[in-house]
Amino acid sequence: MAFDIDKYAETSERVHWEDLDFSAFDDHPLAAETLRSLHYMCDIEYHTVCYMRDMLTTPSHREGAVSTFMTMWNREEYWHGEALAAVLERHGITVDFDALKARRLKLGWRDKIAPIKQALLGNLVGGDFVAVHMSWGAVNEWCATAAYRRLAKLEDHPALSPLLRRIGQQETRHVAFYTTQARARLEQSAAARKLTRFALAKAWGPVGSGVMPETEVKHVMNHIFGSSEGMAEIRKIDEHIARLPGLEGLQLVTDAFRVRGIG
Amino acid sequence: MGWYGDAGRLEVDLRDHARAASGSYAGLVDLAAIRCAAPTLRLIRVLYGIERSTIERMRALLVTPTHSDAQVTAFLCTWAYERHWIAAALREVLDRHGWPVDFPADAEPPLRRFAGEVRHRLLPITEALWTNFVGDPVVAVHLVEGVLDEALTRAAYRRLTGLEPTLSALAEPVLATKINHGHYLRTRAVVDLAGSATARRLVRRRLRRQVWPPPGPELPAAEVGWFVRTVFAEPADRREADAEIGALPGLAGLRTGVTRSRIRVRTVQDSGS
Repeated sequence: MAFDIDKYAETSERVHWEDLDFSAFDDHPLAAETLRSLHYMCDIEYHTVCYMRDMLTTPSHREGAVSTFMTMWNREEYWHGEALAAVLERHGITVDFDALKARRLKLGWRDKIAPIKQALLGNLVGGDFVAVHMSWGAVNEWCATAAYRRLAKLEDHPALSPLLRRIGQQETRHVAFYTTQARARLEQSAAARKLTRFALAKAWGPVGSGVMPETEVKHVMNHIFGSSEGMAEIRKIDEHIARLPGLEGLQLVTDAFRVRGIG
Repeated sequence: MGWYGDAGRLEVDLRDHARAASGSYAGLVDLAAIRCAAPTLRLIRVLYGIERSTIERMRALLVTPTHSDAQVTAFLCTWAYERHWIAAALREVLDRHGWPVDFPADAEPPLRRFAGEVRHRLLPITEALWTNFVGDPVVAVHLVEGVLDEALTRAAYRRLTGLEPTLSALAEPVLATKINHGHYLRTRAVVDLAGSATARRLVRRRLRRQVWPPPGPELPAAEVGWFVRTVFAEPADRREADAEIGALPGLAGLRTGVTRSRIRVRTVQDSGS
């Protein structure tokens, strides 16, 4: 089914939580392990603008549907960060702009030259490079959706769980956009299929790897998916990925977890 | 709304602004009641091109140290969202008049189009290279460029409303949104400029190299030139922009002028017009 970008834009809204009773966190505060995972997810949501930076170096930003999506997506993800920050604040953990800036600066020169590398690759490869970004985005959003749903179920908390489900619901629309884009571009180009398969197999890591310390990546992935039920969700994600043209047989997420000793 | 008047409350105001961000104008403004003559529609098409260049602007900003400044990127998130809907409203005005939103393919000579395409492709690389050597003072450059851009586009909306009063139904809420944008950029620019002599020197130097509107692949140079000459025919049309820039720390004596059909910034003694 084609993705209706106009409808998506018209119905894009920030996630709401004002109707949720956050005093439930006073009666049932979250465990340290959960707060650690939420902090990770909060940082990654706020980091969306940096992922957007890399997307913008590709030719796709000049396509109306893509630029509209990026505008709405960036805003929705920002509000996911705000929502999770509000939960953390309730537990005495402050995530402010200075902390976010410090996190970004800590990435160092590798982060500064990343857009240069992306731009050079984009200029060399051309339009097929967009298929890589869209497929990468699809994988990340599948993982994010699964993570929010898993954590909502694991916690079964009267305030946190509905909030996480709402965020997960918004992520499903991101999945829809990315997969529609990825599928169309991969179907059109054998070169895009080869390049995307190579890039994902060689370089993809769980959402947040490359930005967050590996200790945190392992903690969060183990916390949320480190059970038979969790790994069943991971295998479902791999089944979705393997249905994209050119990605048959890939077990991208399972393999990435295995090398990290997760699951 | 009254946001961004106090530098100590910027982050609180950012969150309040983000919460109240202006979306689609379709339900707020009777766009069907706006009737414009052809010359006004020609101006609106350029203004639409300027507004929809938001993602292009983000592209240039985010490859620089500005992307690390989480407060600025939080502002950009809401700024881009609100500008998207402003562009959408202008597009609808054009659509309702049967005007194509895109310029004809031959509106730009092939060589100029090719040069523009090369510049566009290299921009993330060139911007990333020089700005990452300069570091944080670059943020001030972007903030002040934003102050200038917002002031000049506000002047453009007022001029258009003078040409076509039915546009005021759209221009008024758009201006209210842009005034908010200008307030954040100005208040934050004051903080950065007041705190760094390096930033003040860099901004003075960089401003004098900028042109407005910034070149973009979707805006033919001839149309933009006609837009600038028409909207900013008199120095009085740039008065607000001059006042805003001149009032910023370290930028006294800078004025805008129209040179080669673009707005450029000069010091008072060498200002052209």
